Amino acid sequence: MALKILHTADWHLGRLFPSFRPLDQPKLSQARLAAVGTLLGIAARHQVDAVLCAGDLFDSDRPTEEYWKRLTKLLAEQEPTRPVFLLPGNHDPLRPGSVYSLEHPFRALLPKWVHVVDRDDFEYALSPEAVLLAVPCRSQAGSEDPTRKLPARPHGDTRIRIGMVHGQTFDLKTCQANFPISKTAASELGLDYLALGDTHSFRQVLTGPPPVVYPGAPEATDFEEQEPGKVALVFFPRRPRPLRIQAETVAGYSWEHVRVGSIEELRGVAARVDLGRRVLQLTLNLTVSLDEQLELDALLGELGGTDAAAGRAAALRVTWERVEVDTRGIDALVPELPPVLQRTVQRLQALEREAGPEAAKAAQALRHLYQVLKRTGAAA
Amino acid sequence: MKLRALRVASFGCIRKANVEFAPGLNLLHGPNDLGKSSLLEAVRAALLLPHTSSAHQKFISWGHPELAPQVELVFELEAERIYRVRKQFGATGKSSLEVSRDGLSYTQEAQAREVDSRLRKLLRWGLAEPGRGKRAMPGSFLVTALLGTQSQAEELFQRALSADEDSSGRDLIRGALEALAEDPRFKQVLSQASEQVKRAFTSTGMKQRGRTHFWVQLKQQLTEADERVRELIEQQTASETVQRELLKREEELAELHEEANAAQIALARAEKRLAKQLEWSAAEARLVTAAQAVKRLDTAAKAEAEAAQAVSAAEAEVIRAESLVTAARQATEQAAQGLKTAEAQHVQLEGDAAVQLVAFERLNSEKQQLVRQLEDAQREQAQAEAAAGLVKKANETAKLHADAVQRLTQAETKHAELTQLVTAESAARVEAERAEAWLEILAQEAEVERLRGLLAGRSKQQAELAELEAEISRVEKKLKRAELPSAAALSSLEQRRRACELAEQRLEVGLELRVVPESPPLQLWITADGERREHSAGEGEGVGVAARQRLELELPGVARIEVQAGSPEDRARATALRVELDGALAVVLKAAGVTSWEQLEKLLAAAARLAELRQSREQAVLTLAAGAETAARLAELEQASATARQAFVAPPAPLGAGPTPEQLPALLTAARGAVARATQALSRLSGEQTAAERAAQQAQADARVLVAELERDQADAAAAALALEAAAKGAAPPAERVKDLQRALAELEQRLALATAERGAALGAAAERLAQASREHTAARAAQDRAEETRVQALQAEATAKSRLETQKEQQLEVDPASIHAERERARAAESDLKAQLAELAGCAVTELTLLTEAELEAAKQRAAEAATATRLKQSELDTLRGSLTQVGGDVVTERLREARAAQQQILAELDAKDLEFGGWKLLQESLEAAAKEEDTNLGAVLAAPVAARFSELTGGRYGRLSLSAGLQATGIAAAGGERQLEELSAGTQEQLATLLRLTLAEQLQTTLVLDDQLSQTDSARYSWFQEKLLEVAKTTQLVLITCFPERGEFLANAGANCVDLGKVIERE
Repeated sequence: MALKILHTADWHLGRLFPSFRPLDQPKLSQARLAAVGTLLGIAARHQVDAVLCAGDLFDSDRPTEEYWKRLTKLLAEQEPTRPVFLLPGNHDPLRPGSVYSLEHPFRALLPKWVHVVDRDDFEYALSPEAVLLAVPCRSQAGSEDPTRKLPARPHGDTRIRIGMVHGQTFDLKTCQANFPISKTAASELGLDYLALGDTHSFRQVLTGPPPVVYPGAPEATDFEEQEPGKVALVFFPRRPRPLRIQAETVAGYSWEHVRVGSIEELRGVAARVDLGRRVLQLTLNLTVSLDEQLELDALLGELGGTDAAAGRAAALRVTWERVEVDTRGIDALVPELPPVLQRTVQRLQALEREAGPEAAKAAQALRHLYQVLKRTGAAA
Repeated sequence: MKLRALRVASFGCIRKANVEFAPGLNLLHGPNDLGKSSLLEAVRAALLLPHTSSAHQKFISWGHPELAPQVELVFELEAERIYRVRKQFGATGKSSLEVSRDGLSYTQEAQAREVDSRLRKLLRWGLAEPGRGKRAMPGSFLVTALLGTQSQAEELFQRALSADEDSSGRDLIRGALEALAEDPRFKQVLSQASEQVKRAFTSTGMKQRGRTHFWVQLKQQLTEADERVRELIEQQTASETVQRELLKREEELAELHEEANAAQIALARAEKRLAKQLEWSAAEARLVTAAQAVKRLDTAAKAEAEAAQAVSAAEAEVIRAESLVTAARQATEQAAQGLKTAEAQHVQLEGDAAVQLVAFERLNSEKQQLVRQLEDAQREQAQAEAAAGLVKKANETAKLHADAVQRLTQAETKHAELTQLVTAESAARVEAERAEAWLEILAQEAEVERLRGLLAGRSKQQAELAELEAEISRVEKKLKRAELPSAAALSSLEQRRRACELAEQRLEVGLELRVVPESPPLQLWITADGERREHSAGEGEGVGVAARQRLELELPGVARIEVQAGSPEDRARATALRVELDGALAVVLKAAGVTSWEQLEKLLAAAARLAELRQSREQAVLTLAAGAETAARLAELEQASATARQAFVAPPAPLGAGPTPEQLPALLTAARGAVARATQALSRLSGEQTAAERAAQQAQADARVLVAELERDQADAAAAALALEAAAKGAAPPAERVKDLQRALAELEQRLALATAERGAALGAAAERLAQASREHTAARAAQDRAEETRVQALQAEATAKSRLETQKEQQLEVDPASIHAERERARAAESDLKAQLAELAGCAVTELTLLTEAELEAAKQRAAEAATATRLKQSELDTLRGSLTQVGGDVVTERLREARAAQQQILAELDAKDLEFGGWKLLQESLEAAAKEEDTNLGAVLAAPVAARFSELTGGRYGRLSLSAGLQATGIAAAGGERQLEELSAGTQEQLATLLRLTLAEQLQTTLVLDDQLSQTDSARYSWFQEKLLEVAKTTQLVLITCFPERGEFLANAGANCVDLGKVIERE
């Protein structure tokens, strides 16, 4: 084997998840650091010659101290013989004051085998037979193809040439401001492998030769992403045998969006045994009775957990698209109630029948009443 | 409220006093005329009287009238809400109200006139805002109840809550008493709803505003999310603007590039076009000269061509004619040859047909022979097959015979065994029958014993039946004259009664009339239950009129007014329903022959009892009848048992002379088992015997088998003879031979048919070919003749044309046609080429070609220069925009905006959910309260219950239900089976009842009660009861007892009451 590398990107360390409950947000943020630890472990296990990190390693160019410090600790645990290359991406571009700038304490704490791509003519000899060429992002947006700054293969150069840039290979007009990358750049420049970052799904843009690859985010960031949570292990055999790319899973969590149309479906979700490492989005669109509404609350509590008790799902986000409660179930309790409570029910039901905002509140009030009566057994 | 301290100076007979109060029971004692009641007045003045009021005159110091009366009261409304009110009355008067958390440091809350206004709001005792015109000490129901003086016991019963100036007192009492009256389930729900509402809303219904409250936090989060979204939208807009501009500039630049290129191309084309235009002019001149020569040459050439064409045509015609002749000759020869061949073939075929006919006849002969052979062979085959069948059948019959002989032997053996077993089974069956008979005898005897026992109790049942008959007779006599109402009539009565009660309950609303008699004098009567009673009322006194009472006021000489509670409709309805009920009831009672409902109920009970008795009687009669049947059955059984015993003279051997009943079942089981086994074996052997008999029948076929053997021998002999015959002939077995012959016959017939068909076809074809050849020969001869004729005509035409061509050639030798032709072709080619090039350069079709001028060429140069300049400028703009793009957020901003919007939506959803959740709680609380209000809680009834309970306890059950109106006015009390007016009670009892009412009220309100020389007319026994009760109430409520009997307080002092010797704390004037 001439060369082995691990190609990763889009860690987005320090990313916040404000659309999740405060309870789940830190869990999801911390999971990204854990995924970095996992991928560095894979690099060690496969004894790769280098780890290429192709941009967006931090969610912003000014991450909080907690994240860059913990990253330096993880990187310091690597073997000195295995160089690690950090490429600034469009989320964490190289610019004055950014985490990659020379004056930032992050740079000072980095071990010497970790290299930040901070020049447009960055070139590093991975071995006598292989060279890495990389160009950093210097802004959040740009219309120039970064591969244009990479040098073409000189005549007579037979080494393995690996390019690393951050951007989008799309040809759509709307993506022209996000560092558009020509799909044919790799072959035009005489590269053997073009390592990209930006897209969060594992994707081989061109199967090659030469291959153009996005490894995707090691930990998902959204429910829409396809096949996130991977890194690419690239094996370069002696010529003329073709190189081999192997996708390795490193994610701690898998993200899943479930649409729930009935209480039975929710029961089915709650009964699943694979929720422990699952980030779950539930979109509720259903009609329930009063009893089922109590059950719905209980099931959601069980799935999501509280400050005191862990939920069955790793994290839960609920979208209440439409949840209608049929309050007629309270009629069964009415005959057993004292007159004053009967009158209260009648008043609320009359309000519920009227259109307007009070109707919704009346329905809610009936739910509360039913809940209290049920819980305290006061209807008995 | 709890009093903490009172300080008084220059107040009536008191020069100075300083009293500290404990939270529970306080006993203030001192001799008469010390100023005890002045202390109570001081409390009232501090809390109720504005310092400007003229009523302070009665508090002016006896010793120093020049000094303004002063009072200071410290009281606690709730935990850490301690108030201190200070007042100085008179012309130099002033007031202040301060508040403190610890009772040490105070801050001013109000002063001057504001003090009383604030105090009344804090106390909520039903006092209106202090007005300038109000001079007297203000009063209200609660003031009377809590701070009443010695003389106000009666006033308490008569003062209505509704007479208060302000509704605050009523609301305070309702709030406290409703809690007492509420259903526990209602309380539970209301409590939870209130708790939830408190979490989200303030007491004024506003959302909580604490910094850590979820409303505030959510609002804060939403504001931040909104701000974040707004910022990101701005960034995204900027980013998109730059991107759009960039795209637009790039498109424009591309267009400009295209335009510049187009201008350059146009210029180049114009220059080229001009050059081509010059070339074209020269070529055109040459073309004119050449065209003239060509024209001449064309005329000559045309004539020559026509001549040459004529020669060529003639030559061709000759050649064609010659070829036609040659062909015709060949065709004629071929036709003649074909005719000869056809004739020869025909002759040959006729010879072949004769030969074939001979062969056909031979084949027919062979066929006839083969058919005969086939018939012989088939006969032989049939004979052989019949013989083989006979042999097979005979073999099978012999085998069957051997089997039958063997089965017959077995059947004989089984028959012997069967005979033995039949004998054994008969013996076992007899034993079993005898055992069963013995068992039946024993069972009959047991039944006889049981029946004898039953008959022994029959006399007792007969006695009970006689008693029942007597009872039925009594009840029937009682009911004889009564016609009892049906169940439907009773149900109808019950419904009427409920409707009547409901209508009357609706009238359960009292009213009060305040009497201010002037002149002329007023006379009042109250009519209740038909009894009219005169009522005397003093000035300002309230007259309570309870439900179903009528008040009549007579102003002599002026008018007579009748007042009654409830609406006339409700009253009329209640009355109508009552009348209706009474009427229906009277009919029923009359029919039943009774005068009251209770009597009717007794009659109904008696009727029910009669039904029960009759049922019991029927049961008893049935039991006795059953007894008679039992006696008959007993006699029958006794006889049967005796007969059976006699019949069972000799018990079977296994039973012996006296088998016990316990032994019998085992013996019987053994006997039954033996019978079952024997029966089973018998059944099996019977089957085997039947099989054996069948086998024997088979054996009878022996004779037939012998015959079959004989036939078999004959068949064998016949088969052997046939085989020998066949072998002698050396032929194949008959079956094979038949098959061969059939095959040969079929082949022969096929060959015959084929030969016949071929012969017919060949003859037909030969005749046809002969006819065809003859026709072709005739046609070929005719064609040859026509071709000869054409050839002659063509030779003539050729000679004519050649002569004309020779003449033309001689004429053309004068010019050089070759050079002229070449020149003409060159000129034409040059003209055509230049026209095409010019048309291409001009960009139009050849027919529309226009010539380019010098000016047009200059314009094209100008356009090319302008396009190049515009392109440079656009490139510069594009570079600037690309630089701007690095300053905006791009895709990162779009991603963050998406996240921020999702977060914003989540917060909004949470806020909406909270709004709905707590809005629901609030609406639930409001609905509960409104429903409770609609329930129209009767405060009087609620308060009356605990007061009456205590009063009953005090009086040893002499008094029962206390009637308090909705306005808490006492209207009567139940005693000695009737409702008594309070005036009918002794003064002491009235005072005790008033004290209990005040105690209960203070207890419910959790506020201080001052009892000034109360219970002075109470005997020691009741006083002791009161002391216990005061101690009990004082555990939760502050009580202040002012008394001139220190010895009466000894017990309370010993029980831990705060005893204050007023003689020590009051300095008299």
